[in-house]
Amino acid sequence: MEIQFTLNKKQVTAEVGADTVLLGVLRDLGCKSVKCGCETTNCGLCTVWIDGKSRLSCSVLAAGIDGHEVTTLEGVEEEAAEFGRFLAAEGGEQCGFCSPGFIMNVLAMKRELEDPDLEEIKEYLAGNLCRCTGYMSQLRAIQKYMTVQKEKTGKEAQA
Amino acid sequence: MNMTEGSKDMRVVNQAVPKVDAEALVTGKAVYTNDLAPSDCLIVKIIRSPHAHALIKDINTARAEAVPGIECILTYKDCPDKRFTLAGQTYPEASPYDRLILDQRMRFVGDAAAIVAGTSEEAVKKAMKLVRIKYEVLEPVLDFRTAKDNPILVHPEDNWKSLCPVGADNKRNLCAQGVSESGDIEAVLADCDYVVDRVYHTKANQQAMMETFRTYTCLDTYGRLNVVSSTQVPFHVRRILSNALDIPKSKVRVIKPRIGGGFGAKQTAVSEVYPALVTWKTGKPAKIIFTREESLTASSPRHEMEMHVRLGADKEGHIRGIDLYTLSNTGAFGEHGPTTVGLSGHKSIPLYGKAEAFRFTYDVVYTNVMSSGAYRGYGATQGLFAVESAVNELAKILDMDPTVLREMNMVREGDVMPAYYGETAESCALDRCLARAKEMIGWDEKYPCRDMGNGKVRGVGVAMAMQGSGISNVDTGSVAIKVNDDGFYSLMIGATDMGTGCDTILSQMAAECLACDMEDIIVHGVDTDTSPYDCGSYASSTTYVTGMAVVRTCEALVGKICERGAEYLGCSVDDVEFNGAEVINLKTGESITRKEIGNRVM
Amino acid sequence: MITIGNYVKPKSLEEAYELNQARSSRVMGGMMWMRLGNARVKTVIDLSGLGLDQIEDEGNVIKIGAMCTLRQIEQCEALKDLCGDGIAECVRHIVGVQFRNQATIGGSIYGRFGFSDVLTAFLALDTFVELYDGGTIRLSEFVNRKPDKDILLSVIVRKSKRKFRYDSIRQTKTDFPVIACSVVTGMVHGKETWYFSVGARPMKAALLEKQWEIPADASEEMIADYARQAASEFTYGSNMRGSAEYRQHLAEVLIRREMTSILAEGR
Repeated sequence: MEIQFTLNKKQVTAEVGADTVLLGVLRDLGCKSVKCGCETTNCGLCTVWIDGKSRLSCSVLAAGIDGHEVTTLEGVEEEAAEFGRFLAAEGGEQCGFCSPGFIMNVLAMKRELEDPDLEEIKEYLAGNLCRCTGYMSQLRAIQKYMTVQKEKTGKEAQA
Repeated sequence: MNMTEGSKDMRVVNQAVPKVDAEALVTGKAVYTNDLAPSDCLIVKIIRSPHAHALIKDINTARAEAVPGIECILTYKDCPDKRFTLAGQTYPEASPYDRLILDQRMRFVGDAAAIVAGTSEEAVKKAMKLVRIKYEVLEPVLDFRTAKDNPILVHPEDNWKSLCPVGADNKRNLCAQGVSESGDIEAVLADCDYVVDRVYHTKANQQAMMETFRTYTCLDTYGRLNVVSSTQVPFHVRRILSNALDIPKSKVRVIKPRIGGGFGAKQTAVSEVYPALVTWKTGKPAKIIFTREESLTASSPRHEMEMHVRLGADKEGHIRGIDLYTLSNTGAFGEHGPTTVGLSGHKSIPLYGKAEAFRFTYDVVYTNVMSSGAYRGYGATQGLFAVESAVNELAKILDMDPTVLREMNMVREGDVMPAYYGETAESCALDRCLARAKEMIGWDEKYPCRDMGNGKVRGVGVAMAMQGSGISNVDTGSVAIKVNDDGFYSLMIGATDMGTGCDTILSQMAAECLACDMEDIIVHGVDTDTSPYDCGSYASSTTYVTGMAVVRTCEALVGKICERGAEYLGCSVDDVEFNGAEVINLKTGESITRKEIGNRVM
Repeated sequence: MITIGNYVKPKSLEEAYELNQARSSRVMGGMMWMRLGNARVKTVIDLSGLGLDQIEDEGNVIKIGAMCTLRQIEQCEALKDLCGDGIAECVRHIVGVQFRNQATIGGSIYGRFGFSDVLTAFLALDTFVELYDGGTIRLSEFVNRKPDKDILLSVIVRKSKRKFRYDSIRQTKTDFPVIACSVVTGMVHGKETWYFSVGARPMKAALLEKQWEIPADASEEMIADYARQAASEFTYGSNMRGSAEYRQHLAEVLIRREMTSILAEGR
């Protein structure tokens, strides 16, 4: 069956089977940032936004995406690069395989939570696994990034 | 001692720099194996044995081959009958040559029984269900404690071979066996006031790197096998594939892209042989992506070990003798079996340099479970757990602070270590490490434990470890640095960055030695056709071994730059100096830039 | 993994129900669990678009549409006002935010899974389920029924005055629970009634009702006795996450803590 949806603000179509999952469709459409880590919802590598909410593309039926909006890391590259600089400065990306899914979820958290503390950050990111870093560098990067974001919105509010 | 004293002099090393691949990784660029695989690759999957020990009596592939899109279905009959090892080790490998790409004998649940290749995943999955395999189910050896001299043999075949004298004997299910000792351990232990006698058991662990095993292969214009794989050991993979396919090494080229973690799992060629065989037979590009399940059940986890420790000491706490017996479970195949077991004793016992006697005995046995492999620590992890636990038990018996017990007994700089090949600890700061660690945790305030007042207590514990940076007298790293036109450098390395950042740190070291910026150096990815030989990334060796190769290469290159500069300046090489940007004639002040040298040299 | 022949997004509940009567049809929620099995489903029915994704505060009940995600439940103010932090507690340890943005309460409740935190929690509350054909019945009755061809439309929590606690034990964060316990108390027909729901036994949640009058200043020993009694009236099993004895011990501890917390609130 043919599906039509918006991918990173562009209209796309794809031919899918009834049980085709979204992950493969996105990669075939050129979004190689979306990675497959476990196929069983546990690792968070395949995190994308569907209608603005973080979801696991390995478990979403592509057929159900018809008419919806999907965002991958390719669609928020500038924002990702900005946070990515904080991540790199803290040594928070080593092999980089978990980074796209992790960054998508951090950016989603930024949109959803106002000024989260460390426990809230950890809980929001509980579904993103990393085997290289031990998470401490990533948490430092997020806290520093969120502080900068807070200052930015503070300045914007004053302006 | 201020560890950062030297860093005041360093411009690039000891400075925080982002990794050279950081931008690509955080913006999700297509740099991993499956991002690079051509879209027309045949999809390769493996039919796996449901039995721990069985012989394939019959395989009927007729119906499966008829599924549209199926390119080929390969069985043991299609594979060379020459055994090899999948272990990524320097030749001659210590691991036994006990593998075939596909064998008639199944040796663990999940062992490869057949390879199916087709144009789509659906076609392959459909065909897999239609292959009919008749197994003669055999009794397996599942408990590694019963494996040695068990009448059931995991490797009864005649063409099994062991290249190195590691004490391997396939007729006894032995992958390795050995003993090293000094002094009379039994006499010493009998004379000790206390003997701690314990058995410790550690399980097989999975590295669980985020990127599973995957490889794609194709034939290039010259009919050579090109392999792009998520591997830590591209040069070893070249040898392994040449052995496995029984083709000359010159026919194989291995390229390493960005890797999503390894931790030792990819120091064994877990996935490469399957698409390689398909491509070699069909001429078509092929790829295999291991599922997470396959990466957990048919991979290369840490060796399960059982360690019997006998630790003898006198009343004052002097450790007089250590006797360790390690039984290691290498599983169905022997990759890294003979080598990991050595560290269980060699990286634990020498910590106690004052002992009068020691004995380290080991057996590595074959069983009908998944084959073990390399995993950070590489055997030292298991041995240290056992020995350090025993030492802590001794401390309890003596009612002594375990750090004080270690202060009394630890190896010190200048000590000869009988348990470490008789070598001398020429550089050893273990005592200072322990003192610093005690300070950092607040040991004296917290030992033995604190009452938290809520029904709980919080304790502190201690263990020591030693580990090597590289395998002494074995590991090799080579580096080549080219000066290009315009004077920028190409750094060619064979070391494999698996997220560990060696591409970055080796550039940092080169930039430091060449007195230039990191932007002036391009790092070339690993390609066995063009990169200088490197054993690969394992044994915590890259920074030390390949790093020193960088330093030496830079020294030699600086010498050559000076020679050229002197030649172009028309003076003696003894009169010039290179400051990173220019060669300067110290007598006249004349200079020539690196950029100009680079251009003139072409 | 599941194989599906046809994907259908019906335009009405009637259409969905008709389609579901075929033997090899299945209604999907978030599809998180269903996808991992080996079922060969001829027609999968997607109920999104039929207005079942809202939580409605209807005066004396809170009505949760079957397609509401676990994240919606986690963040619902009305449920928090009614039940306290226990509602968020029963979902916040389930894998991660991405997972909860997709898994549905319908999937959890209809599935009646052994590991389900959601079922355990809602079973202890004054909860009903609304079925397309079967009408509205108590969750405590639904939990013991076998899956059939009816469709779950909503989960309804009556706004009775109850105190509610939920807790679970997990070996590793984001894993399935080793045990899940919920304790609820309130006046029912003039009598102080305690409800105990224990799930992940590893079997699915079961409900115990006791008319116990426990004083607000009950001693630690007394509460411990009650908890032991309650825990002992459930059956437990052993699996790779723990033995039956271990689970019973944990249940006793969690029930005791939850009861203590409820009684302290009363003081």
